[in-house]
Amino acid sequence: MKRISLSELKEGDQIAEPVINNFGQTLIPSKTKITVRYINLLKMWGIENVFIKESDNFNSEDDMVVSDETKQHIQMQLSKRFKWQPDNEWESAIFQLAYSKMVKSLTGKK
Amino acid sequence: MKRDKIINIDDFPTLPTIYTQLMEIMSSSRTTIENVAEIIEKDQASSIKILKTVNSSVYGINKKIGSIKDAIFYLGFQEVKNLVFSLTMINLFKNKKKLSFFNLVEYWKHSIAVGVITRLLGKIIGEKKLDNYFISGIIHDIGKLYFVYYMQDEYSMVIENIRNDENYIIDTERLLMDTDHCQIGWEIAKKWDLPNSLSNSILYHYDGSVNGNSDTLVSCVHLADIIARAMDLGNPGDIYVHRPNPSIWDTLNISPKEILALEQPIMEQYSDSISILLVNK
Repeated sequence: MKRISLSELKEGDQIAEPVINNFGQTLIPSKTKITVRYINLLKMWGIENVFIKESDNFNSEDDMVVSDETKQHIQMQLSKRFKWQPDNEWESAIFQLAYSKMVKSLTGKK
Repeated sequence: MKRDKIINIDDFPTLPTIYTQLMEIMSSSRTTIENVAEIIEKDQASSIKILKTVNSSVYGINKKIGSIKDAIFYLGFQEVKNLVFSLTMINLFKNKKKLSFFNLVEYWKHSIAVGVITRLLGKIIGEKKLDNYFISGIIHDIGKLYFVYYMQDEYSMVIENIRNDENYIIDTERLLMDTDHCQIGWEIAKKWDLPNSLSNSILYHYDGSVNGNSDTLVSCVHLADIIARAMDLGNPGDIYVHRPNPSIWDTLNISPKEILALEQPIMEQYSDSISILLVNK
């Protein structure tokens, strides 16, 4: 989950925490996928920030655009630099940062 | 190879005048913002870079900072002094002869990345006094510069050995030189009379703790070094990512999700810092 400003919110983002107005009414329940209609509603109520769901699996977005061949290449490159396998979630996060950076370098994504 | 035969820290440059002047003036309780700004503004190139850095994503100040006085007002004496130190350190070695066995630009890129990540980690864990975080990353590998410039024959063998044997740089240094860059960096920190927090982060950044005792800044530099290596930001002489000391997770109380969320700010701040600190403009 991350907090973003209304200007960053885009169609397809998933709301992680219900959006409540000043009167305590729920404008958008959690898990709702954002559409233009919702963005306009938030503007109307003067909501400045919302919480959206982040991808649980960091690979999910990258996996969609990375071919099996590229994935294999990345794994091979990483295995040259990492001489150990992750034993806990923190170490996995470090691996994931390395993987994600390499995907972006190879695909030209920022 | 015997250490006493080859190590002479006195060969290493002394601190630049501007920094020693700042240290001196800041030790007086009567010092004003104007006094400090006056010293910094004498070096126009540094002043411009300081303002660019202060206005970059690294500090994220919502207001445009237009003068050194304002920079001191927002960041404080200590952080501005540290910025001067970072800039003068980079400049001190930037114009030296290029070396075939060690890429100095890549070395600084790595050090800047570690500075940026150390500060981000400090922010995430809610550290209120972030003064020494950026600078600790910048200078954590300073000992390597001694080896690179004053023990070229030995150190080129170290670098070559790493490429062939795929060892961690610190293990190869210990094996071939009977010392390592953390130890030499600590001796330079002593020569420069740097505060304990900085000399500890130089001496213990590879271990992640101070003789087994937790230390937040040391843990941040340790993790930042690993993340910078994992993300392949610059090159500190070898490409290998060492395993973090497991004790840092308790020290830092940081979640794996918070580590993952660092990717975007790291890339943004790294790219900003590189373009300000390493490019001659």
